Amino acid sequence: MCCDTVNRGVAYADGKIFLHQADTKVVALDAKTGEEKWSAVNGDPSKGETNTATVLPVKDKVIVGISGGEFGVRGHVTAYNIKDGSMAWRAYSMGPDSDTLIDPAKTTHLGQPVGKDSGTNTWEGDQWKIGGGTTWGWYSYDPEANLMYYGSGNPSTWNPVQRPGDNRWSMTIFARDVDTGMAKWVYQMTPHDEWDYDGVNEMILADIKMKGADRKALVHFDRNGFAYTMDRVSGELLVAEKYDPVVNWATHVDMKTGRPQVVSQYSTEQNGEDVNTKGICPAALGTKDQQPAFSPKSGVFYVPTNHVCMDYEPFRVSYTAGQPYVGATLSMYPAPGSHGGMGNFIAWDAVKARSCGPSLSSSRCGRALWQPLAMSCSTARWKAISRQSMPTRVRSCTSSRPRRASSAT
Amino acid sequence: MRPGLIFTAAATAAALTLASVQASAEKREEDGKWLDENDVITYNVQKDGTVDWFTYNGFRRYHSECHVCHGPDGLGSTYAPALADSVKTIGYDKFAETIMSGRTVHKADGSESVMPAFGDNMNIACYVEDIYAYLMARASGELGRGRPAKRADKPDSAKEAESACR
Repeated sequence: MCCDTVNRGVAYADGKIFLHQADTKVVALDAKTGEEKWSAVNGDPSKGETNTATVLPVKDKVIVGISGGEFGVRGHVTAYNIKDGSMAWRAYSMGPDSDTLIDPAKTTHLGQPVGKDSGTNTWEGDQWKIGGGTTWGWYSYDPEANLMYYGSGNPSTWNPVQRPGDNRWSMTIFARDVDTGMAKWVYQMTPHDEWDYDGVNEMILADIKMKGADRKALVHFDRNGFAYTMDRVSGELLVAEKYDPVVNWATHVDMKTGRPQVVSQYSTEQNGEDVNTKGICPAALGTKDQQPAFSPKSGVFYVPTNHVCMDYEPFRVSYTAGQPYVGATLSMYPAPGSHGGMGNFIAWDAVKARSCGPSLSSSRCGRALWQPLAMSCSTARWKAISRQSMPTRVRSCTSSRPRRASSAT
Repeated sequence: MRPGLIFTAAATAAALTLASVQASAEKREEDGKWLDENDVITYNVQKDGTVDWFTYNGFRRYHSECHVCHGPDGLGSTYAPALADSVKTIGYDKFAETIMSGRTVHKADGSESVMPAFGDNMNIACYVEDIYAYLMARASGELGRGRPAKRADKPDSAKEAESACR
């Protein structure tokens, strides 16, 4: 099944435990007795539709995703009514507006209305029907804005040559009204993905100060190696910067269009089918996988990162329902020319968009903040990582929680 | 059933060793594809390690589709046989038939070992020859583990076959 036999946990609300099984059955259990109150079938495993994500109970609904991006599954999020398990709404990642719950006039991409059928008009033919953009990650909710946030995964197949266009809205941050499912804003981080940089990582909702003003921000450390700071109410893109210095597939993100500026040498599309594009950083597992934390006290994000690069060779594949639909071979290895390790631990300033090292003296990233982290590492480990000389003074450590940041959420 | 199947295991192995020597001596190339004396697809590994296109594609297809059960590099796993060994004895026809139609083996302990049918998976069905060539190369010892370092150019016939595979 796709992808791996994992389940990211159950959730509790309204006296019920909610479980979304691998076979896509959503079950509500009485929290005290274990009795099944209701169940719903969210997908069809014979088409490769499975579940690995946890569920998000919000108000009177429980929101669930779907997995199967490597089986040509068309991703969606679905809200079930907590009371009886009936479906309240379903919003696909791609397809006609009626499927994506996108309003052509009101849903915005970086402040501009997306226009009619934005979920099909950047696809060739019917490829969007097996377009991926699955929703196997993490969901957040802002009660004031009444919006839920999540990211969609890779477009199918991994062979970019077989799916010309931007492949909207794969690799996209969505902000949706919890009651109706309608998208308020979207932002596609990696148009026409060529590297499998799923956009599913956590959407951290943090209230931070920018240029003296309070901002209701969404901070997202994407697999593509860029950390995004957005206004979570308006969808404005505030910051998009690399959070690992080895990221090389794009030079930067154009802040007007929001588009990453792709480097030809690392473009598996431009190099083409049957060509092994070497030395792409990060690898498909992304610059970050899980577990970032934010401390309102220090105003800094603590992020365990991956420091892994890859070779990526796309090739032609055919779609058969329920069978793998991948279309690339990959090799992954520690970032060359670095410390040889597979990861780093960084403290990140989401306003100034930089990693905080021990020698930086800004108020956010001062020595005091880092001292406890150093103490929490064993001496041998700390010496080993102190030998690293990384351009942005990113440091790594086996421990992930500075003592003074115990209020980290 | 082929006459070869009534040989004892030792005799079969000896005969196959002889046959494979002859095959490598008599194999020929047709538009980038290497065929043995019976016109069955086989592999070619040049002195500098360059493999023919079909063997290379077989490496990719094997690791996309077969690897999850049969292990990396045709080496087998705890529940599926090492195909780099199997192809030494079963021959292309049996290999292809097993992939397309599947196979159930009833073991002595009463359990069953099931190979599903993959005839409707075009990513396998269109490339059975390629996968066979790759596994024959692995079986011969001429091709080591991992990604082949170099490959021959993709023949036009392979491009056309790939486009036709839907």
